[in-house]
Amino acid sequence: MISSIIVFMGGMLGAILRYELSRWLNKDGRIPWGTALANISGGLLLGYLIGVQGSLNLPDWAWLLITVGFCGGYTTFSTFSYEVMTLMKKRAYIAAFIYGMGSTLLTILGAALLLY
Amino acid sequence: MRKYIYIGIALGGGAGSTIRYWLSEVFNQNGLLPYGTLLVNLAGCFLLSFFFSKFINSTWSPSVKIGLTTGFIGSLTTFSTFTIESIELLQDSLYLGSFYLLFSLLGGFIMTWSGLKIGDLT
Repeated sequence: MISSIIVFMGGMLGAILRYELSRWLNKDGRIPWGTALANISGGLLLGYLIGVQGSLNLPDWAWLLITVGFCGGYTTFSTFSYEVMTLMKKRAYIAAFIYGMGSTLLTILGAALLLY
Repeated sequence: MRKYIYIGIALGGGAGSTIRYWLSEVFNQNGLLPYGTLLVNLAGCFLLSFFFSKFINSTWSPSVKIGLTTGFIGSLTTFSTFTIESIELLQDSLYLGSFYLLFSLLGGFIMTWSGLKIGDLT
């Protein structure tokens, strides 16, 4: 019960921050830089935290709050997928490719470096 | 009313994250792949485009619409956990990791497309 409430609070913060970034940086028909920034930075933060987990010694509640709640709610897979499709429907194929591949590869490579 | 939009996103984001947490506790524990994350990501892709298609001509208040889409479904799905799980799987097995990565991305895409089509038809 307590852990669910902690995740809920982290998710609230993450979702609001993601919304602010998307309102600020997402422009119709272009690469949605707001979502890209949220997804890449959220993935890197999660990778970094897992990498330093041993030395950081975060209490369980803080770990849940930041990783599952905040990072999980801050980043989004559904909006990412929807935006790639929207760019393709607008025939912005290069933007769709750069956005889709860029978000995925940058996050995976960056997080892998931070993890190990 | 901006204030209500923030309340909608906060409540939706909290609820989406909590349901993701529950499902990952149940389904990510055993098995080859993190099925809980896969489930929320694929289902979320379908739901998001389905709702977007339904909301074009709806008179629901923006706070409910944005709370449900950006808040709830946005937080139900996760990109950070998806990438970390991909890295961890790739470490164990190149095939399994690549499969999870491609299945999520292509599956998400197909679900997004289906949600839009079914939303338009119904």
